[in-house]
Formats: sequence, structure tokens, C-alpha cells
Amino acid sequence: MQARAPLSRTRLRRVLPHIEGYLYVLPAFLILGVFHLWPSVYTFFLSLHNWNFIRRNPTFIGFANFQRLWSDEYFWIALKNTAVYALGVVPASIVIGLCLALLLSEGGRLSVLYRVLLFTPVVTAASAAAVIWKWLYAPGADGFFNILLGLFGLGPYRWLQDPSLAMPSVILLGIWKSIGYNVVIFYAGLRNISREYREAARIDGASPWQELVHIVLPLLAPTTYFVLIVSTISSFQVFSQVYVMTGGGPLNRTLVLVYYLYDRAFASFRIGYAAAIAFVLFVIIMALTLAQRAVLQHRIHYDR
Amino acid sequence: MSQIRWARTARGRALVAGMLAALVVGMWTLAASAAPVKITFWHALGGEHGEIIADLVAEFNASQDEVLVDAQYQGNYGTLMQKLMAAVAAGDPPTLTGSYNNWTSVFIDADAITPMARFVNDAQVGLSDDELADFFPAFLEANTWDGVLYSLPFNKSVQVLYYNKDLLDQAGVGVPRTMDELAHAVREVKAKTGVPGLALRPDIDTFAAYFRAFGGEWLDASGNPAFDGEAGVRAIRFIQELVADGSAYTFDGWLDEEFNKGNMAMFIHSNSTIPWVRAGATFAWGTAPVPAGDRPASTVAGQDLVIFATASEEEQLAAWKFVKWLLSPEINARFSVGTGYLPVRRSALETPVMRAYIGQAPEQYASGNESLDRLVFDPSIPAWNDMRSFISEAVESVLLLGVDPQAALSDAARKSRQAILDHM
Repeated sequence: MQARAPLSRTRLRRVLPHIEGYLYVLPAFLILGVFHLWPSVYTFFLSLHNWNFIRRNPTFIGFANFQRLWSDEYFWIALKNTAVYALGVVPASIVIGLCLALLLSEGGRLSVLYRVLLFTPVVTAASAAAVIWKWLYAPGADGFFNILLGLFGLGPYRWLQDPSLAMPSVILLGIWKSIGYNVVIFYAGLRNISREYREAARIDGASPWQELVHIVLPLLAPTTYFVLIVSTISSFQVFSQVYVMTGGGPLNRTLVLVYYLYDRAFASFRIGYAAAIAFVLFVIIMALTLAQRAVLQHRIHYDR
Repeated sequence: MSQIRWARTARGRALVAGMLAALVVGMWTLAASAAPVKITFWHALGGEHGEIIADLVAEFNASQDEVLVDAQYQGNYGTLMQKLMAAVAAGDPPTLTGSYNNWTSVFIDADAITPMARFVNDAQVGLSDDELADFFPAFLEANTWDGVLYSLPFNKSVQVLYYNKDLLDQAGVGVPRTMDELAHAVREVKAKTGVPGLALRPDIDTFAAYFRAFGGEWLDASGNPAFDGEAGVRAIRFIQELVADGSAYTFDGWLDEEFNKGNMAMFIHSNSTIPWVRAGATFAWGTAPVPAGDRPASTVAGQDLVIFATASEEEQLAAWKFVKWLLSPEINARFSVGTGYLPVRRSALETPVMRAYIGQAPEQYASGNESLDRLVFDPSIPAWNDMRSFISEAVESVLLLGVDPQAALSDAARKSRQAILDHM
């Protein structure tokens, strides 16, 4: 015991000068701990239990929830729909976002106005946007999109009620909602590319297309990589527009993972099962991110 | 160093001491005069229904000084359930709430509510045998678990057939009393007027109307899903054929709005929709009990009243006093007349207010009361919510995608069996 005392005192002496630093990170650590770390741990704990929120104690059932998930057809439907949604939203919003960012970066005075317009959907609450889009998608001949298409003699379509149109309609809103964010990130990425490279290319006689493909896009790769990962993660977490517009219907065509999780937890009150879905979703997103990293990282050219 | 000026002078100190004393005495007097017990009552009655319950609560509060009810509208039924579950989990539920019987089974399982029987059977404040027998037995049975009365019926509605009298007259058909007459009338209306005879939502509630009339039971005696038998297939074929020949159509919005526009002659829906039809219909209309198939059967929906066990004895007793008042014959009749919900006891039928209401337009208002001797109930099991979506999905897949009825129902029954296990 006596031998340890001086040791701990030296330790204390080493730590003490940094105590201020620890205090600085404490608030962030507390917030992360209370609202992110602890819930994650608790979710995993719950996923091993059968519980309905109000029974006295969760019943420990091991990995039974995960086994059940494996044979749950709705889980697979939700997983497939989520993948379809991500494939519909991510590439389109990246390509459109990039094109708009390129236009903006060449643009003149109006570009600030355009940036504001493009970014508005991003800062609009998803549920509020979904309420408005639900109205735009109204099924009758008096729905907004049906009026527009009616001018060309098309429709009326039952956007959110028709099983084959519901998911594309939800995807369209997803694209609209995420373009703005991608534009802003791409725009910042473009501004970071040193003018010298592009000027050098032009002096060497590169056409604008060659300049774009061989200079701009490669140098933009870190930004594209970032946008890809962030968009993939957020499209796997899609919830609000499904909740507001379709409730997972018609015929489960828009049932996505987070909505299914919500439904199990707060309509059926099967908390353990919902926690298992949450955990699987976490693993899927993690795996996707690592996979993208493994495939793409060595192809990215970081300037500087 | 004191900056507090009043504390420096004797007069200031005396003044403050006097004020404090007055406050203490005041509070003591208030407490001594037996302040009313305050209870909270959660419900999901919005719009016109909400105004009626608010008026009744205000009337109760003014009528006595023992109980003060704070009635709170919680949004739609799904939201109400979420708030209840969160509140029970947090140990802070309301004193009294409206609850579906499958929710009540969840609360019973969690020991969250006090059996209503405790108060009903109380010698001092309870109900006499005659009073209890005055309640329709079907309601009491549906509120009983393992022989114990846990809840009492409140805003109960029943499916009825709404009809556009003008269109039926033009087609030369009477109000259908049987399923065969219904099929005939639907086709005649379409043939004679060009307007579809029937509109229906492709969901479980529509299915239930026909399935129950054809003698179907949701669960067999041992509690297993049994809706994929003959009655289920007959019910779904019945609808399917009417939709297939164009005399009926599926519609997934508000049927009463569609009805009020004159887009179809008939629909089957909860009788609690009567106020909306009354407000919107511009033609002669009426309601009738759901046509009988192999038997007369009308599906009941709506909520019961439960008292939470977390409330103090005093609050629970106060909640019971309110329940007793709310379900007394006169008040129950007024609630029923105002909202279109069913009266829950026989004597409410005989009240002047009820007689006057039915009397002014029996063809519109009598159908609910006429259904009271043929009520059928949904299963009160926690898995029912999941089963509802499986069955709706089966009906949708038959009517919209042309899936074979037997295959669709068997699939829903298989999922329901699993759901019942999942909710154990």
C-alpha cells in the first residue's frame, strides 16, 4: 500500500495540469454520454430482452429477437425498400448536387440567391416538407402534380396510393430534400481547388470537359467521398416522410427500416424487438461505411 | 452589508411577517374546507365529440365540489396509446382514460390499472345489482377479463349501413336487410342510376362487417386465429365480386365525404360518423343495421374507461364518482345523442332526450340502438393491433392485386399466429 501512494501522487501530478482541459471536454462528453453512448448501450441491452415498456421487468431472451428478425418477412421487405430508397436518392442527389454546384461556382451575382433557394429544403423540417409534398401529391385531378401533368394530358396519378408509384414519390421528395446539402458541400469543395491547377490545364490546351474530368473531379474526390457516406447514412435513416405521407403503405411498398422500428416500438410496443432492429441497422450502416471506405479510399487524391 | 431594504426597518419586518402569517392561515383554511380532489381524464374525442365531452365535464365539475375533472384531449387514438404507455412507464399516468379493450389487456398484464369491479361492487359508492344489470350484458362481458370487470364501456360505436335514399328510390330497391338484398341493391343502383352502389375501404373494418355477418369468429376456442376459414373466404369473395363487376369500388379516403358528394349509394362504417353525414349530405339519407348474412352481427368499436392503479385511493375514488355520473342513464343518453355513440345501458334508451332524438329522424338515428342486441366484439389481446394490419393487407392484396382470397387469408392467419407468440 505504501509503495502505491507515491505512484498515484505522481499520476495525480501528471493529470492535474490538464484538469482544465478535461473540464473543457466534460460538457460535450456528458451530452454525448447521456444522449448517444448510454442509449446505444441500453438499446443493445434491450435487444436481448422481451419488453413492452410497462411490464415490471424486461425478460432476458438472449438472441431470440435477432433470430426472429432473420425469419421476419417484414424486416426483409423493409431492408429491401430502404436499399431501393438509398439507391434512388444517393446517386441522383450527388449527380444533381454536383452539377448545380458547378453551375453555381461559375455563376455570377445571383449565386447567393440560388444557394439560399437550394439550401431551404435542407433546413426545412422533414415532417413539414412531407406535409406539403403530401398535398402536392394529392391523388385527385386537383392535386398539384396532377394539374401540372394534366396540362400535357397525363394522369391523374394516385402518387402515394398506387403501390408502384408510392416509393418513387417518396424518393423524389428525398432527392429534393438532400440536393441542397450536397450542393453546399460540393460548392465548398470546388472553392478549395486551387485556381492554379485549372489555369495550368487551360494553358496546356485542355477543353472545359477535359478540365472537369481530369482536374476538377479527381481533386473533388475527398468531398464526393464525404457526401457519399453522409448521404448513404442519412438515406438509411429515412423516416419522417414515410411517417407523414404513407405510413409504410400501400401494401408495405414504402415500409423502410426506421419506420418498421418505430412501428414495432410505438404501435406494437415490442421494445426489445425494435431495439434489435436498431442494432441491426447500426451494423448495416457501419458495414456500408466501412465497405465504401475500403473500396474508395485508395482512389482518392488528397491535395496537399 | 444587507441590500434588502425592507429587512432593515422594524415596520418592514412586521409587514412581511404579517403577510406570511396571512398566507399560512389562508392555506390552512383552504385545506380545511376540503378542496376538491383533482383528477385527469385523457381521451381522444376531437372536433364535435370533443366539445360535447368538454361540456359534460364542465357540468360535472359545477354540479359538486368534491371532484375536479381535468379532461385532456390527447390527439388521435394512436397518439393517446403512445402517451399512455410513456406515462405508465414513467409512473405518471392520468387518473382515468379511454382505452380500447386490447390496450386494457396490456395494462392488466402490467398491473397498471385498478379493476373497475372494486368500485362497482362497493357497498357505499358502487352500483346496485339492478343498476349493473341495466348495462348491456355484451358490453360488460367485453370489459371482463378472467371473471373480473376491469373497465366500463364509454364511447362505443357500431358499424351501420349508410344509404342514400334518393339513389335507392331511383333504383327501385328498399333498404337491404340481408347480404343477398345488399348485393342485389348495389347492382341495381349501378344499373339504374350509373352511380356505384357501394364504396368500401380495402381494410379489416370492411372485411369485419361481412366476415362477422357470415358467422366468422376471429379466434377459435383455444385462442388461435380462425379467420381464414369458410366465412372469411366467403366475405372477401362477396366484396371482390361486387368490385369486379364495377357496381362497388374501393376508396381509401373518408367515406362520409365521398358519400356526401353523392358518389355512391351506400357504405358500411361506424355510426359515430353520423354527425359528419348530417352536416354534409344534401339528399335524403338514412342508416340501418349491417345486413345479416348467416346471422345478424354488428361489430363494435370504441373505448372503455379504466382507472390507473398509480393514482392515490382518494383520486381513484374521485375518478369512479365521475365515471358513475358519466354513465348514469340521463348523462349517457345525452352523450349518445350528441356524439352518435351507443348508449351503454338499457334505461338510457327510455330517457326523454333519447326518445326525442330518435323520434326526430328514426331512419337516420335508430340503427345504432337497433344493433344493440347483435353486437360482436374484437378480440381483447395485445397482438390484435398487429393482426389488424395483417388482415388489412390480405384484403388489400385481394382487392387491389388480385391475390387468391384463401391464400391471402391463410397468409394473414400464419402471421397472426406468430404475432400472438411474439406478444406473449
